[in-house]
Amino acid sequence: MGNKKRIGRSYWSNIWEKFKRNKLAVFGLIFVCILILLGISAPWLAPYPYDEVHYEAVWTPPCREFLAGTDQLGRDIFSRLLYSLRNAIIVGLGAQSLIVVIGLTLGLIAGFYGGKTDNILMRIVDIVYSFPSYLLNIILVLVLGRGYFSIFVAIAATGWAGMARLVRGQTLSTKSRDFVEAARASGAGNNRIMFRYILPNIIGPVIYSIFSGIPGVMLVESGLSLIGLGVRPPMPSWGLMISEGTGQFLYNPYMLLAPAGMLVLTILSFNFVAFGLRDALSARE
Amino acid sequence: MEDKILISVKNLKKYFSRGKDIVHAVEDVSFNIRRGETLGLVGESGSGKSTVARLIIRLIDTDGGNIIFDGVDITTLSEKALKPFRRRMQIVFQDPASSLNPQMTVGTIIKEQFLIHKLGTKQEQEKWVEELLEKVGIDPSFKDAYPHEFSGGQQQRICIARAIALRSEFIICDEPLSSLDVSIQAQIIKLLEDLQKELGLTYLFISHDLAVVKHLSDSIAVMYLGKLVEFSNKKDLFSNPLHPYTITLLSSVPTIKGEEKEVELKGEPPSPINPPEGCPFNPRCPKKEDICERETPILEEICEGHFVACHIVQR
Repeated sequence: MGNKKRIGRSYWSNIWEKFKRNKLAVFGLIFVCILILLGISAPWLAPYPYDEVHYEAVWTPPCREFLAGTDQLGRDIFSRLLYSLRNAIIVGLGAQSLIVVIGLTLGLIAGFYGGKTDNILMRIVDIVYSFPSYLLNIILVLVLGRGYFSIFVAIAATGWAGMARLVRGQTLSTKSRDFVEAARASGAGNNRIMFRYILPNIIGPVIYSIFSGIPGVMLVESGLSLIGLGVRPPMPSWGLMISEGTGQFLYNPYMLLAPAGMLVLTILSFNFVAFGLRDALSARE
Repeated sequence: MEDKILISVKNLKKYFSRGKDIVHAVEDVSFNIRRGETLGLVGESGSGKSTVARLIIRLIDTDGGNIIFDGVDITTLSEKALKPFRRRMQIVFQDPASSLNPQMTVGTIIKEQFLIHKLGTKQEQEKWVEELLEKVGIDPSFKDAYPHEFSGGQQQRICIARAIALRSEFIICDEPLSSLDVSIQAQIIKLLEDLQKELGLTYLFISHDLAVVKHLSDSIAVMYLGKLVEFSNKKDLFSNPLHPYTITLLSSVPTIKGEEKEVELKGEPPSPINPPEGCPFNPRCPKKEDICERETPILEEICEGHFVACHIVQR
C-alpha cells in the first residue's frame, strides 16, 4: 500500500483491469461496439433501401454493386443484413431491458424481504420457469400481433424469471454479509441498504447475465422470424433471411451464409464479452 | 457516574427454528455492564456469544427477556424509536474484510454514519472522517482508497473508526482479533484500550482467547451452550474459578512450562438443538451428580459479585 499511485482503485477499475487482460473478451467488446454502431447507422450506411427490388438483378452473387449479392427479388442482401442487425439489436436490448427491470425489482424484493413475499414471488418464478418458453413466445406473438413491442413482451414474459432468481440469490447472500449488518446496526433504512449496499454489490453478475442473455434473445427473435412470426416483412431479419436462404443453398449459398455468418459473429462476440466479464468478476485478489 | 450501569440484560432468550428442530441459541442470559468498563464474554464456538451481541444491538429480535440501555428498555422499540439508540451503540465484527462495503471508499464508509443520522455539513463530515482516521492510526490521505487496498489490521482499524464515528458510548467487539495476526492483535488491543481511556467507552468484548480477555476485561462472563455459567470480576474468576467448565477452560490455556493439565475436557459440546436435561454441562462434567441431570442450575451469587450456575458449587 506504500505506493500512493495505486490508491483509490475501485472494485470496478479492478474488474476492468482483469477484463482487459482477456484478449478475446476485449476483441468481443470492440466488435459489439462496432455492431451497435452499424445497427444504429444502418439507414445511412445501407447502399439501398431494404425493400427496394431490382428485377433486373435477382440472385446476383456478391459483386461491386451488391456487396453481398441479391435475393430472389433482387434486394440488396448487404443492406438487408444491416437492417437485420439493427432489428436484432433493438430486440436484444429492448427485451433485455424489460427483463432486467422486472427481474431485478422482483428478485431484489424477494431476496431482501424474504419470508412470505419471497415464497410467493419465487413460486411464480417457478411456474414461469417451467413453461416451455418458445411455445409461450409463439402464442404471445400470435395474440399480441407482430411487431417490436409484442416480441419484447413475449421474450420478457418468460425471460425475467431467470433474472429474478439470480438477483434473489445474490441479494440473499449479500444481505447476510457483515457490512450490511453494520449498516443496519447504525440505523440505515431499508432503502439505503438496498440501493447503497446491496445493489452495487450484485450488479456485476447482473451485467454478466445481461450480456450472456442478449444472444439468446436474438436467437429467439431469429427463431420466431424463421417461422414467420418475427418482425413484419418486408422488414428483414436474420431468421427470415436464413429461411429464405436454405432453399437456395445449393445454387446461391451466399444467401444462407451471409445472414448465418452475421448471426454467429454477433452471438459469439456478445458471448466473448460475457465470458470475459464472468472471469473478471469471479477472480479474487 | 462511574458505577452507573450502562447496559443491563435480563433473561435474554433466543431460539432459532431449523425445520422441526428448535435451536436453543441463548437461554436466560443476564448481566450488567457498568459505564466505562469492559465485560469479556467467553465460550466455545456455538455457545451463543455472537447471538447475544446481535440481540443486544437489535440486529435480531429477542424471544424473551429485556435489554435495558441507559435506563431505557430497548427490547421491543420500533426501528424508528431505536434510531437515537443506534447512535449510541456500535459493533465491530470478526472479519474486517467483509464488514466494509467493497464498493465504497473508506472515507465514504465512515461518512455514511453521518449521512444516516444527518449530522454536519459536507465540510464538517470530511473533517470528521479525517480526524477519525487519524485517531485510529490510518493516514487520512488514504480516505479515497478502497477497503481491499488495506491489510487486515488496517481494515479492522477502519471498522473501529466507523464504530466510534457517532461518539457511541457502547461498543460490542465480536471477536475482533480472531482473523488477525498475533502482532497485529496487540496493536488493535492497544488501540481499543487507548480509545476506551480517551472516550470513556464501554465494551462488550467477545472472544475465545482467554489471555486477551484477561488483559482487557473488568469482569468476565462465561457462556456454555447458550447459558451463562459463571459471571465475576476478572480477579476472582482467574484466581478462584468455581464452575467446573470455567476450571477446565482456564486449565486448557497452554503454559510455557508445559505442565500436566489438571482437568481435561472430554467430548464435544452437546447440540443446542436438543440440549441435555438439567445442567447443560452435565454430559462432560467431571463432578457430575444425579441432581445435575434433573434440575437446571440457576445463576446464584456465591460471594460478592461472583455468580455461578452449578449445583455442586452452590451447596
